[in-house]
Amino acid sequence: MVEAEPLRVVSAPSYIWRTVNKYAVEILPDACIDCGICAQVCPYDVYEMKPGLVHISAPKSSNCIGPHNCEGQSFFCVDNCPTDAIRVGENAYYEDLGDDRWPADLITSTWYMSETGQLPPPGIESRIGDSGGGFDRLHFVFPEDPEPVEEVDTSLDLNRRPWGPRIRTPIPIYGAAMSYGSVSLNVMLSRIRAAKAWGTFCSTGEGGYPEALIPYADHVITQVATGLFGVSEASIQRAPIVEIKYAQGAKPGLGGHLLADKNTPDVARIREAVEKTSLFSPFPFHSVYSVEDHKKHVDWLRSVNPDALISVKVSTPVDVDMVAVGSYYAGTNILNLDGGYGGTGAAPDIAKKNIAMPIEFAIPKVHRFLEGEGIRDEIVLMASGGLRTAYDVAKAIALGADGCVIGTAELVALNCTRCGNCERGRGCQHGIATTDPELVPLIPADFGAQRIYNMYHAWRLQWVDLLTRLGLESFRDLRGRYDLLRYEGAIL
Amino acid sequence: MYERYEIPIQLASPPKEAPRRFQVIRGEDCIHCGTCVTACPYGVHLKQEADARLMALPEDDLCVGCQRCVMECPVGVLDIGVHPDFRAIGKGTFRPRVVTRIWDEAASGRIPVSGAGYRGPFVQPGFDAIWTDMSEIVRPTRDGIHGREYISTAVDLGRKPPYLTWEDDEPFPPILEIPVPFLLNPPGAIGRGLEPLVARAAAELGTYAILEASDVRGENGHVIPRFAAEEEVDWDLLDGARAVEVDDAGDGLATYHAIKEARPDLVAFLRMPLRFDAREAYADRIRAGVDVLHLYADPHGREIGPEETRFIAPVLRDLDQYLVEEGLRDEVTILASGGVVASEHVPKALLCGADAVGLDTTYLVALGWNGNPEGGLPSPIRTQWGVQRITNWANACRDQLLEIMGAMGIRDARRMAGEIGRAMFHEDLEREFMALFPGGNGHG
Repeated sequence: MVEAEPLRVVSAPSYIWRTVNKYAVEILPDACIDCGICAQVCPYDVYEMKPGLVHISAPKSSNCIGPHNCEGQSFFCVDNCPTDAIRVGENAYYEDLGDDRWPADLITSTWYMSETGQLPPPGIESRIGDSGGGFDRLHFVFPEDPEPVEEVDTSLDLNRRPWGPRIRTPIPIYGAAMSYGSVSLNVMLSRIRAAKAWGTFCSTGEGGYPEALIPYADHVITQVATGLFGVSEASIQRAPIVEIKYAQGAKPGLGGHLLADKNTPDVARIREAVEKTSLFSPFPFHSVYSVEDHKKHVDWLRSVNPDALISVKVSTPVDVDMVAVGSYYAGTNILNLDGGYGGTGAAPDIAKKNIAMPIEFAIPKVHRFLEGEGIRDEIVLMASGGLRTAYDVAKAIALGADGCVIGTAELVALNCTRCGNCERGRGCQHGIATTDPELVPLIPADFGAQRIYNMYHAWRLQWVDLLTRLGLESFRDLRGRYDLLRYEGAIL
Repeated sequence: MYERYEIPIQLASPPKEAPRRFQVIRGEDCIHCGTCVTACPYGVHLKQEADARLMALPEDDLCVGCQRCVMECPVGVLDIGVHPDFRAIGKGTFRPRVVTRIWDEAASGRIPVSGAGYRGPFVQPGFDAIWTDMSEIVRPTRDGIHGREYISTAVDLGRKPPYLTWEDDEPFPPILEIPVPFLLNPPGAIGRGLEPLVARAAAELGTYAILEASDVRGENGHVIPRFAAEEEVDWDLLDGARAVEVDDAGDGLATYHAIKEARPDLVAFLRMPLRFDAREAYADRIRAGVDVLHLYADPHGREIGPEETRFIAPVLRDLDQYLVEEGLRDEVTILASGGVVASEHVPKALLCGADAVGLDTTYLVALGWNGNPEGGLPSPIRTQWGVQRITNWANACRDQLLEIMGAMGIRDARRMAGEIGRAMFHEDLEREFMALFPGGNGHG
């Protein structure tokens, strides 16, 4: 396998499909005289007159900022059209896309960022959702007169123990665990290539370590979870970070479940399991019934690979703070708190909302408890489970996390519409959460990598802007800064 | 001999007119190219049977909302939106997702599973404002679900003496064990006439149906007759019964004691409106020897009373605490009903302090009611189908209860009652959270 070229921002439109747009721009073909005035006036590149062509191209509705933002402006296409051939309106079904956590604006703004690497046009919300609580009711308070900042540092240190390798990533995130089987190999490659380009990491999830990822081994986190699917000495020794998964936020205390349809021969081979059977990852670890056993677990992995950082992924129960302390004393480097509103390939609906607390409440609880114990600066606290945007990441850090783990947003970057049919064999009609040979090629790995890379590029623009406005030089200075946040209270 | 408790499930499809989740709109400018036919694997888009040059109307009941046809349509004439019928489903307690989930559970009997994460609001009033606990490291209760180790969902109804005596004149009080921690309440006005069906469903599940005495017909070991306060007790109805319920209003307590006197073998329920202000009255009744207190809230789970009312969950929690302080909690069985609708409400109500819950609107929804006061039930309802819908729902509910218990590491539903420490209330979490910010209360 050839190593991917280091990526830079290149436009990556979803070349097969149109997207779902907030505004609908229409050129009436009978009235249009192809004069090209609209292409000259529109500053948002909705219209294009390709060089050498005499007809105007189909309008790019995804760039439109909407008639109410444009009316009265000198560049309003409708007013400028000499033959009244342009219709600009709202897409009546736009709001039906997405849901409270990922409303249509968040989905389409993520698509836009993934396509262009830039921030979406004004009028499309890219920071918060509509869930009426948590991050969506938490806002930054910007000082009127911030300290001038020369250069903003968005990096994250992944080892704060006095021993072990030093690892620093330039952005405060790494890619969440998604197993081979729950998503396609192309999606895994897309994510890992983007992670490599950004100098960060991406986790294999618990479905084993496909050989195609070996060229990217320096950026692959491998997971040891309760099912022990595909866990081998070789894969642990290859990984710079080994993640032990005790629980997953989207289904805390329930283990994992890969439905039979997605367990193709290749998935079964990597997982060392029988093909076309449903694969259960049990709950809990049957080798860990106490915190002493947990230490044994960490020691075991460390003896297999002394150079790896050990990450522990836990859910957010009542006593999550005690869990964190126990994990610290067992010798972990990274504690990944996975809150209840995170993504999953398949989970009982009842588990997604009702078990374990949202990540917003868990982060400060753990952060402050570790501070009180005097051990906060030796462990890295990573937050995940329902972090959708660059602003969510920054808020999580302000609440007390060191960095964040991102999953669903990377899939939305790949064109996910959040329809929620990932658990079915041929469920994902966008070729993401599937192993079906006909659907997998819909996301070529280089296209996918570019989309995810672009999204993080846009996120970084938002982070730099945010830290500058806060007068902070790095995310390290933002951690635990409750004074920079304002909470409106959940809407009940 | 030991018998594993199992609820027989069988597909019981919803009535034809059940609302759809999505509507698929095909604009007038369709060029009938058929791209959507290949794009959609769910069979929403098909050509007309009579003339294969033309597209048929979209079969939107098959649509899962993935948007691929919308994205792939070369002329952009397709749209997918939420179906207006879906939006018309009830509100509050009976919001669309609650209602449609019950329909799915009643159809398949299985736990609804889906991909992607949680999609709803951060928190909503009622049981939604509670999260249950889990343990990262537990003994392997979870495997009970796959059959290696058993988790019991059974609970006992009846008076529980604080200690045993060996005196002959004090027989052990009767106990009613039910394999699932819920009973079925009378169907109420919307479900008038469904009483025999409800009784059969209860028998099928091994639990009990509480029915107004006037509606009890014939022998059925799984019916608990309920007598209104002023009603004369029809002693024949109690032949073969194992329990009885009496309304506390007016002279109900006297009737209650008269029945206890005549039939000490019956587990007797005393039905009272749920109201925290009435806690001393509850305590008096427990001291007077009541076996089971059936406390009912309104259908949306609000306390009964003219003044400001609270939701059933915090009331049960505070009441549990009060009864513990009075040293009375362990002697009595608390049966709670009203507002307990969805599967996840059952474990949450138990954690707040109920030993068991009474269900009513849930099974009406399972039978096709859409949660709107104006909405009715489909008619006619075939008994066999109806019973299957209710038992299917019950199985899905029980399986989800097992999931929640497994995550907590609790192996016995009897231990759920009043385990407040294993429940997280939004109110408490938010109070702590709010205090972090210098602005303090940032409402508004």
